Amino acid sequence: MVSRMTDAHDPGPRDAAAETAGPSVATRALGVVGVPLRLALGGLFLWAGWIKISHPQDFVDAIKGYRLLPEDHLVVLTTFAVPWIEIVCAAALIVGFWTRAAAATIGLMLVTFMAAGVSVILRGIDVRCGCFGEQGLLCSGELGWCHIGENSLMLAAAALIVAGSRHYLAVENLFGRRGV
Amino acid sequence: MTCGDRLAIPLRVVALIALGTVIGLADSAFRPVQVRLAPGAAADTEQTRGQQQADAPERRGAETGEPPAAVDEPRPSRTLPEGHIGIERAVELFDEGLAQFLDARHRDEFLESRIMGAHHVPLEAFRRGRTPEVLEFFAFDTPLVVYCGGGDCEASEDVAIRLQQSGFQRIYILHDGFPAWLDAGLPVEDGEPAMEGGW
Repeated sequence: MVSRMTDAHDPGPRDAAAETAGPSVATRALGVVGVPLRLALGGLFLWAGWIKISHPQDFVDAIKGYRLLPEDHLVVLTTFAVPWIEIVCAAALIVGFWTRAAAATIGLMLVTFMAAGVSVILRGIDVRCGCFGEQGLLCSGELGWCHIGENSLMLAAAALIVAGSRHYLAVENLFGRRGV
Repeated sequence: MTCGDRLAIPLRVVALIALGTVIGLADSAFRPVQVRLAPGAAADTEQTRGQQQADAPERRGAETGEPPAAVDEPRPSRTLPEGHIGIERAVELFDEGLAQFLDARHRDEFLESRIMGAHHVPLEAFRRGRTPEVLEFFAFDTPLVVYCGGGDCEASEDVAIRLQQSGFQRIYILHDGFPAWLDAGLPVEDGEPAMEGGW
């Protein structure tokens, strides 16, 4: 007969059951959904970074158009740092290395860009987004609320990846530290 | 997830940003970009002409015996940004007939009204390494006067930078842009250009 009395050192039947049950349904679902999200978001930002890197002078024009950076050397720094950060994080997302950190970094960049975009819209400045070159993604033309909405979708995807504690098909799983 | 795991994410975010920034800085050393018009965009900007006239005040009218032209002479103390010229100098270049005027505004603004004879050369025409077709007809020492909407419009400077990168040596930016030309009652035109050769 198994005693139902537990003490501090005995995990108890409910905790023991939880340990052997594995990840929850939500965790598994996030893990499954996370794969296409990682690939899509990573692919998007790889493309975005590559376009900016290929034509840095175009990106300078876009950054200047926002009229937020007061110093020229900050414009130059942003011109080259932003696309390379995008590429590094995109690569990390795609292969699944430092997955949550890469998604969090992309999320930070999206929040920063959205704040800059809202500032531009409220100041009535006509400027091209400069995010995906001339083609644009879902939105085209001058920077507007459509672009803010477009970035919100990407931010939501990044947030889901960060929320996931288990990532399938990820290189980081080889190192035995899942979900970090 | 342990406390150490939670700390790992911010640290890794910082590491990713640092890595991208370092690579970007290295890239910038090999592929410099231009944020401002480089010095010497034009041999005779407002500053140099003002200084020349300040240095030789007796030259005006002395050679021809005629009174000086009824144009406001640029004052030596007037300071304009690099490469910018005032309306007086723009009129001189227009009257000489050697300068080409380039309109950097949106096409609908260009069609609505523009400096007579101006070509439409917006910044978009230079994107992705392109060069506007009309520039192929101009020698590199052709005086080019770029203008946009005045005020805080920076399109003319951006176009001027691209012109400089393309090899043109005499680039002028009309300070205060098209509104200054219009206010001075100078020649304008509208509609589709007679000779299509913008970009």
